[in-house]
Amino acid sequence: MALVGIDLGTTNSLIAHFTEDGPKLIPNTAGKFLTPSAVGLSEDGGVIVGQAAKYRLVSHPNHTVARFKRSMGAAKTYRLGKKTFKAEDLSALILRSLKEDAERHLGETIDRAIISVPAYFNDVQRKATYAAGKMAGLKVERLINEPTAAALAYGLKTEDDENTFLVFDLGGGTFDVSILEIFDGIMEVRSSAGDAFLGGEDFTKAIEDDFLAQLGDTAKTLDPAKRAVLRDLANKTKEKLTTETDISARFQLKKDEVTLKMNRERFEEITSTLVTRLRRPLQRAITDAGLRTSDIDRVILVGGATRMPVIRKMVTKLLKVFPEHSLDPDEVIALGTGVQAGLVARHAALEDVVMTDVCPFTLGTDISHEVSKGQYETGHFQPLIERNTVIPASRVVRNYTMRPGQEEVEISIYQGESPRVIDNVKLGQLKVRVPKNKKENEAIDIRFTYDVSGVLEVLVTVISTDKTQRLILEGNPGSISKADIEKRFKELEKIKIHPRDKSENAEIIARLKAAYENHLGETRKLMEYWLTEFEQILAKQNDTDIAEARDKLTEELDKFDSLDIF
Amino acid sequence: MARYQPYWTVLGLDKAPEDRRTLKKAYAKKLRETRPDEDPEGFMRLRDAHDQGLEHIAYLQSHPEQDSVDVPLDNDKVMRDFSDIENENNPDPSPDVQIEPAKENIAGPQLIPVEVSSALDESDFENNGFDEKEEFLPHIFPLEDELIALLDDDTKRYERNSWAALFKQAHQLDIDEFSDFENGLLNALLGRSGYFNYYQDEDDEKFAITSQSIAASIFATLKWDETQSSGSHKAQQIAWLREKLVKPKYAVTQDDGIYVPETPDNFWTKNIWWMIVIIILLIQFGRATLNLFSNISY
Repeated sequence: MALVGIDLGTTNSLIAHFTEDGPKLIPNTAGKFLTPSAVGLSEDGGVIVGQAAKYRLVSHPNHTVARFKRSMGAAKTYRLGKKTFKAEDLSALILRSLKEDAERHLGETIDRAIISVPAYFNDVQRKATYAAGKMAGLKVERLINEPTAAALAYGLKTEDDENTFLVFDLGGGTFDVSILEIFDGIMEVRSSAGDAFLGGEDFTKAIEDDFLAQLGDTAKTLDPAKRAVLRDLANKTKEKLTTETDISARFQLKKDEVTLKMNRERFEEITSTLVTRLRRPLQRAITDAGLRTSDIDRVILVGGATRMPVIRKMVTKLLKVFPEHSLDPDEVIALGTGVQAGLVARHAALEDVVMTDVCPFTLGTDISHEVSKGQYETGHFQPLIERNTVIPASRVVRNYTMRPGQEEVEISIYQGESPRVIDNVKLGQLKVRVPKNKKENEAIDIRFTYDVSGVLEVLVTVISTDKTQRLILEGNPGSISKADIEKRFKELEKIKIHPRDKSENAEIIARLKAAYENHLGETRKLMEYWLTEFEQILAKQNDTDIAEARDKLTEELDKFDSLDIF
Repeated sequence: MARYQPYWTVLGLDKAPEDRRTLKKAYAKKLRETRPDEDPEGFMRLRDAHDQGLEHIAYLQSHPEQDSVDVPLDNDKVMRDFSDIENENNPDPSPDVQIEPAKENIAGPQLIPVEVSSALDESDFENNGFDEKEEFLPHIFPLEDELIALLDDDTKRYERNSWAALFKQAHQLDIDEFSDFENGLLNALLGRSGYFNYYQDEDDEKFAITSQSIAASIFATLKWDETQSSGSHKAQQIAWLREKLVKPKYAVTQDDGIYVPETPDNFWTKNIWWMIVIIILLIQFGRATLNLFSNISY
């Protein structure tokens, strides 16, 4: 009955727990901490999760998906062969795979988890994350904002008594900035800002688009498999650019081979709009905290995408502080969720640590303003909980009916920063009946309570009758009801995630096939030879031989990958 | 009446803290007893006390000779009427930030909005460069010369490219410089729209600073449409400027849910939309009637 912390990322997911020696990451069956957030369907209908699925993105593009985190809470569905899944289902499968890894590693059942979400995830996306946890058979004790988790991981290492730091978290799919203050063992988030649709994947996309432009007319003839290869190539190019300046990548078309070029200058050029988008949240977090850059003692880089030199250069230039990355940017959030797990379990080592967070969005209702006698302008936003309010928080507002004799009031709940509700995210609505009062306007009190996990409760009280109504936020497109979660949990339970050996074998085969696709001539022949050899070994079903062949091939393929393409 | 004890007792202090450090220390100590996840109610009370303490200290610092003011603690601050922001074209004339207990101010018979305030926060006191006592354009900001040159040029200020070039330069600035540039730009636009000129006649402002679509782009680029901590000066200034420069892009309704774009005060432009709506309705009605009859005939 253990409690774990999970970083459910766009590109990779990790799981951690809190021990006597602080937070520790738990390796997956392949011995790695990073489990790629990819899900695939094998030929026999089983599910493949992680690295094997990531390789299959290239070899089986129609039966594999990745990068679905951005669609959490949205109505979008993904087709895997004949089955369709929502982002919540896919996330649940990732969570279940992580849970099983941890159970194997720790030797106990895991039924509770802390899951990290981007600070800029809205209420719908947060609820979807809760649902994914439940569908994986986990009780989600708490959601923690990713930059806050990162700060927790770093915070435990600070020596100074008082410190202000900025967490710059550019993950695979989302961007968050948080400013924190530490004093007397208390960590206080001062402000958070971000962009839920900006991340490392967009930088990959920029390279992919540039490659497509380089291919010219041939780009239109690419089938899904080739497009997947190109995407993979773009990603490798992005990673190589962190250490090299000029890159030529070979791309295999049906008959001939094309050389695609990329260098750092060109990369900066094609990503300049993305980099500009990083400025605004940074600036807002700083001004919202009432600070100047000189007040910031430390800048911490989090998220794999912050490895890109273009990002580091920009951060240094904008904030005039050299950013730190002493903890692995891919692992730091997971470590922080481990700390949070320790905090929730009231671990003795963390007795003096208290953390407070903020609500990064403004929450409010819609309202009408009287513009002239008897004329109303609807659609105004009435903020109740302003962004960067310390949570938990509870605020109440008194509103009146528009005219005497009105019997019903419809209240819509919104999240966002625009003064008009039309530009904000609608979270739900409720109708409240008020007594018919022909003489004067009826008064109602609306109370918003935002809890530590970032979940909102709305209470509406009619003053004259003292009756209170509670809003259950439902009816969002894409949100899932309780009964649905239960049903989906049962359905997903039936789907078996391939056991370790089988999925590792599938991984090798997928890699060999991908390499075969990518090359011509001698290399292609070699891959074909290895593939037949490996299939023969598999057919003999001798576990020791299989393991040995697998290790040998993994080694060869790793070597090959490092030389590959470039 | 535990609810009305002075805020410092909630922080476990005997008297009002005189500096930030004392306040923070007391807060940190109490926070360990009332953790946000275990005792949300207690935490919210503590946090309110902390915020009031910060206000109080800021107040004492800005009024050094005055005695401390007792501030009753009230969790729910049902507050001011929003209309003062809506109706007011001039900056809030009261620089006095005396903290008052919760107060409900009902203006007019059909008051709809009542704003909840999370109390004046620190930033209201430190609001750099936006104090109404200061004249506009108080300091030199980055790209000031470029901006003034652009605004003074009768052709260029209507050209999208010239503005794009200015913003391109601005995007080379660091965060602090950009903040200063943004504030400088806001002040310059306010100044030229007559915001700081209390006695200006509305009719005198025939000239435009730039085109509406460019103004809208400036607002979008700087995300000025997003609520700044509402009730703050900047929010009021931006709302005022939006009315002036950007045509209200949103709609007005006549209480029946039909959106009608707001248009200038001119009979034809004001009524043409209604006419179009009526014509469309007539056509639709005609078609529906025809359909009805053609269905019956079968």
